[in-house]
Amino acid sequence: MDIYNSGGPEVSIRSLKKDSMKFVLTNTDLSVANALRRVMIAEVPTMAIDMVEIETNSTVLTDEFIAHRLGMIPLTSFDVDRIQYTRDCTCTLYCPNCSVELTLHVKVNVDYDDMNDPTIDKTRQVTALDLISSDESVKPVSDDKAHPILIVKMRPGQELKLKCIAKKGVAKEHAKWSPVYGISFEYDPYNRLRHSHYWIEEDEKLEWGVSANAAEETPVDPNEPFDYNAKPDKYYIEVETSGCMKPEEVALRAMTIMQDKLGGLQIKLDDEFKEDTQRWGY
Amino acid sequence: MSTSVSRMDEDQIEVDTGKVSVVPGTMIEPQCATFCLQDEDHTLGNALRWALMKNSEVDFASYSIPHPSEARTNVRIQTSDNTTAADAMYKGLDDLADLCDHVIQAFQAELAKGEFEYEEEENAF
Repeated sequence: MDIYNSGGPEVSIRSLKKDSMKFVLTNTDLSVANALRRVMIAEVPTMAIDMVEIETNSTVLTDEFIAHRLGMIPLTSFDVDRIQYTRDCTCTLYCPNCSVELTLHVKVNVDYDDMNDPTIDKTRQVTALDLISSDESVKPVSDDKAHPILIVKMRPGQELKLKCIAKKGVAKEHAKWSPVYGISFEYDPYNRLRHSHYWIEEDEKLEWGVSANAAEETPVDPNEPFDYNAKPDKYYIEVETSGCMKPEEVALRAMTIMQDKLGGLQIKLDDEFKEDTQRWGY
Repeated sequence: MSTSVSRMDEDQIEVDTGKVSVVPGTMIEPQCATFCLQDEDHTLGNALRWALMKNSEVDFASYSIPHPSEARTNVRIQTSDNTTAADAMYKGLDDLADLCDHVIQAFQAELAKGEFEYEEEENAF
């Protein structure tokens, strides 16, 4: 098939860490590499807190402020396939099939003995670790137990009691559902194709150094004529996840989602043309 | 006033929930058509355009997003007499899905080989 120019795309993983992966995609078009990047950012489903029912809040932060902060907390989503989208679920609002409940109850008691001792830190930090999940597979990402995600700081006498409903979603709807914190995407580090136009003071070479990826390509000879037919075919991609799922899983799921989209469109196309054969002339 | 309201109700066009449709008036003959893809954007549009152009029977293929606040993409295809726009579209979708499959397999093979810098997980999920 002509879509595979000489063997089709190749993947070469350079490094794989707990929450980041560097890989090189070669022998394919920029549009395919960009589709992969876009799907990883915006269409891989994860879990995130979507509804918050606040029972008591006497902290310094307002209810909506806390609800917003809760929404931003990444939740482990490696088992997200098991959970349905709420819009596809048969329930009216939410149910265990399409949501996970997390509760939080922190009350800081007043200790009258320590009250006037300035050397004692009486601030209680409410963190993501205080959230109790009803589902073992969906809980706040907590890789660094010493520095958990801070929700609010409380002083003695204050109380926070709430229930969160985490739902499955994609970042196309809200960025809190994005499994990635950042993706770096580079091709043609020497700017051989002149896709980049650098803003310079005096000297381009001095002001714009080449990236680490340039080590894999041959430098441009200043005397060589510009090849206007050249196309990019080597893409350096680094995915950094929020910790909600493994980076290699994000990439694999992204491609599967792309396939599902294409398959769905084929079915719809078939339906469209079956409905009214004459209209289309065959 | 009341008559105009009732008229609107009668004439109300049925909302098209289909994901793929042919833009009315764009299919003068089977070899050309503009397809409207509901809820799709540059992610699919640009890659699909490329896959279509790879088909030697396709004379012209392009995509556009008519308005940024409407979630739809238009794909225009013109083909030679050997095929039809709809068949070219079908083949384009098929080819791109095959390509995705190829990338998945390449990825899995690379993961299985394990020839990369690897940092062991401290605490698994």
